[in-house]
Formats: sequence, structure tokens, C-alpha cells
Amino acid sequence: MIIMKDVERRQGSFQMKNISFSLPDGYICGLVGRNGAGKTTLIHLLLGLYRPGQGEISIDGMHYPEQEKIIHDRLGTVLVEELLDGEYTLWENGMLYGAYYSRFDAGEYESLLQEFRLEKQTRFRKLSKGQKLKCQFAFALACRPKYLLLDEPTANFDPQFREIFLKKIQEFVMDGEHTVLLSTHMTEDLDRLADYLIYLQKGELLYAGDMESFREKYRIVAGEHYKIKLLGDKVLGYEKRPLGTRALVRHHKFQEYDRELTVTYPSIEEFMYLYERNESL
Amino acid sequence: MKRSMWREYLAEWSWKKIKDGATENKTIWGCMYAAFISTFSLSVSMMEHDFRITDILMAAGMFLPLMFVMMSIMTHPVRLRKMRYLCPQTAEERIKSIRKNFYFRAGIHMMVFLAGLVLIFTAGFFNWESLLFLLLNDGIMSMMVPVYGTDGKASVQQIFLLVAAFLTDMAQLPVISGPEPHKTVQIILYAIFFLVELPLFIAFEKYRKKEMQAAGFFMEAM
Repeated sequence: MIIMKDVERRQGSFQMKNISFSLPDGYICGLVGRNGAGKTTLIHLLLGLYRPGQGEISIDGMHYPEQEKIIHDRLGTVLVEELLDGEYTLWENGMLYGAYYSRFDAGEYESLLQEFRLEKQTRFRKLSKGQKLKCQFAFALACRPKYLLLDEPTANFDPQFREIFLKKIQEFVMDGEHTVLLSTHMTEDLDRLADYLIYLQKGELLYAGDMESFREKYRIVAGEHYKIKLLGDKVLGYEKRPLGTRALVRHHKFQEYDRELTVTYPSIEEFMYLYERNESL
Repeated sequence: MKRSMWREYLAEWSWKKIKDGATENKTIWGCMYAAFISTFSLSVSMMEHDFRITDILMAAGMFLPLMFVMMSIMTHPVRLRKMRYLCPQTAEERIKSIRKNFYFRAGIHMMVFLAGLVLIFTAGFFNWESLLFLLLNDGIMSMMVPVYGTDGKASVQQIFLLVAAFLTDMAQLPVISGPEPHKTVQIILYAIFFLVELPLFIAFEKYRKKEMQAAGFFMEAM
């Protein structure tokens, strides 16, 4: 289980405050937010690369920096930047860095490279950006981690590989013991896969919880502007269109809506879009 | 499979890296360039009509290793890739590999300097005072490898030290080119070494050791 409790971190003018969540094992967690919301900082905190100014981070009950080595042995990471050595081939990179991991499986690494159509004797620096991420993903899986932390890898994948990637992470969590934390702007993938959502806005936690509760908690309501206005402070954000208004509202199970309003579950993208437009009605 | 320090070192020799290193360390390059031009024009003016091939060999033995080491220092800071901070390793293990890398690089520099010394003393006149002085100077310059680049006070110390070592090395050339012992020149050069270079080197070493200790943690290293 990954736990963050009241975590704060200041980095220049950017400040992350009061981040608290508990991500249980066996979940696919989507980490969303606009650029600069703090997604990468949060992943860096979980990786132990940054230390929180305040608060506590615990992974399987272990803490940084005392148990860093054991924690890192359980983490597989894909970051947007190039992590592997450009001068070495994909195979050499695997062998070099794999040596640090107690459960690294060279055979699996080789078969994943083949499956992802990567030539193991190619130098890492000669790959395209998408291929580099594929290679890092193969390496992360071959380390047999308990947790996969993925920072915006999908944007650089071709559509065919994106499907393979999503299938792989579904297989990864299938036994209920492994967890994936996926930061992405491709929210439709998360709508399909995620069981847990962390939504950051300007360094603050806006939502952290399972998708079920998320879907229960919010609705998209569309219809005439004055009827939406009647919903009052339940409206979190809205968009005025020529044929009516569309709004994100806070929902509870006894809530009733005007029959002329269309009520739907929000997708993550709709939620993000409308929430960020929180102008008064 | 083990990491090859040779391979990693050679991989960093690229035109792009040299250019980046020069841009990043403009002041150091500027000072070294000024020192180089002034000593070069001085030696040419002193040469007059007495031009010998041994002078060229000695100058090559002095300048070429110096230029190589300067470029190596600027383009090869001893740093770990981000991936190493993600691998299951303790901070101590990371510091150990940084230390190994550092000594490896300093060793390469010293070997290059030694090759230059062989050339200098083959072409010139051998004397122990000059050999010892050049060895000390070369030892200092070999160890000026920064861990993550230098900043502020350390950068100023590095510039002064490199320029002082360069100029005193150059001052040894006329001593080696003739049979006379030049006792006064040696005394002055050794005085500069002990009063200027050594304190600067000790201060820079303190900074480097602190940096090396911090390099065990990603946050402090970056």
C-alpha cells in the first residue's frame, strides 16, 4: 500500500500542500492534473528522489531514506526523460541496471523487447522517443516490481502499442497484489482502466479516491442556463453554449434534478475541463 | 555485466560536449586562453633566431596534455545518471561508485601528464626540482574534476588554481631547456606552489568532498 500523509513540498515558487491518500494494492491509479499541477513532483516524492518538507510517505510500511534500497527493489519506473544509457545497447542496459534488482528476469526482458519490436543490439540513443519509453517499460516490467510508477508515457506511444501497453498494465494488476500509478493526459485510457483517481490542481489534492466514489460524487448536467443556476452552490463549474449550459455538479444519492435536464456521469476529461472553469453562475 | 568506466569516459568525448562544456565554463576557458596567449607570445619573443626542434617538443609535452586535461575536466564531471538514483542502492553505494569514477578520471589525467613529462625531459635537460614541481602541479590539475560542476567560490578557486598551475608550469620550460639549475626561479616557483596553489587546492578539495558526499542523494546532487 502506498500512503502519503499531509505531505508538503516547496520547490521555488511551486508549493505542494496537504497531500494525503492511501492507494491500496491491486489498483490502477490515474494521476491527473494540468501541466504544472504537481504530478511529476508527486511521482518524484514517491520515488524518493525528492524529500517532503513535511509529512510522511510510506510504501509497504517502509520509509525513505532508511529503507530506500528495499523500496526501490519493489518499484518499476518509466519517466518521460531518458533513464537508460545512450551508449549501451538495450540488452547491455538491461544487464547493467538489472544487476541492481533482486528479481530482474533477463529472459523476460528479452521476450518483452521482442514483443515490443525492439532490436536488443541497438544502442539506446538510436531509438526514437516512443521506442525509448517502450524499452524503459520493458525494463521496468522485467524487474518484477510490486509497484509501477509511470509518468506520462502514453503520449509518445503509437496507437497499436498503446493498446499493448494498456493490456500489459491490466495483466500486471490482475493478481490483486500489484499496483500501477499512471500519470497521463490521455484521460480516456483512465476512464477505461483506472480504479483509483488522484487529481491535482496547483499543487493541491482535489480528489483522491476510488473511481466508484468519484462517479457517485459528481454529475454532468446539461440544459437551460436558469435551471442549472437553480442548483446553486452544487455547481462546481459550467460552460455556456449556444444551445444551453453544461455543468459539473456535486451529487449525492438523494439529489433530484429537473426532468428537462440531462444528467450523465462525468468522464475524467469532462470533470477536469469543467472544474477548471469554476466561474460563478 | 560490469560497467566499463573506459567506455563511459570515451563516450563523453564528443564535439557537442566540448562545446557545451566551453559555454558552461566560459570564465575558466577565457582565463586559460588569456594565460595561453600571453605565455605563447612571450616564449616566441624570447626565442628570437635561436629556434630548436627540442623547444617545440617541450612545448608540445607541456601544452597538449594540459589542453587535453582541461577539456576532460570541463566535459567529464563525475556524475551519476538519474537511473542510478532509482536503482536499489544505498546512498553509500552511490558515493562509492562516484569516488571510483573520480579516481579513474584523475588517473587518466595523470597518465596523460606523465606522457607529456617523458616528452619534456627527453627533449630538455633533466633536473629533480623541475620534475617534482611538475609532478605536484600535474597531480593538482588531475584532481580538479568536479562532481556536478562548480559554482560560486569553488569556481573562482578553480580558475585561480588552474591559471597559477598553468603559468608556473610554463615558467619551468626555460629552466628545463638549459643546463643551468636556475635556483632562484625554482625557489620562487615552489613558494608560489606552497603559498598560493596548495591552499587553493585544499579549499577546492574540501568543496569537492562535500559535493561527493551530497551526490549520494538525488535531491542534493541536482
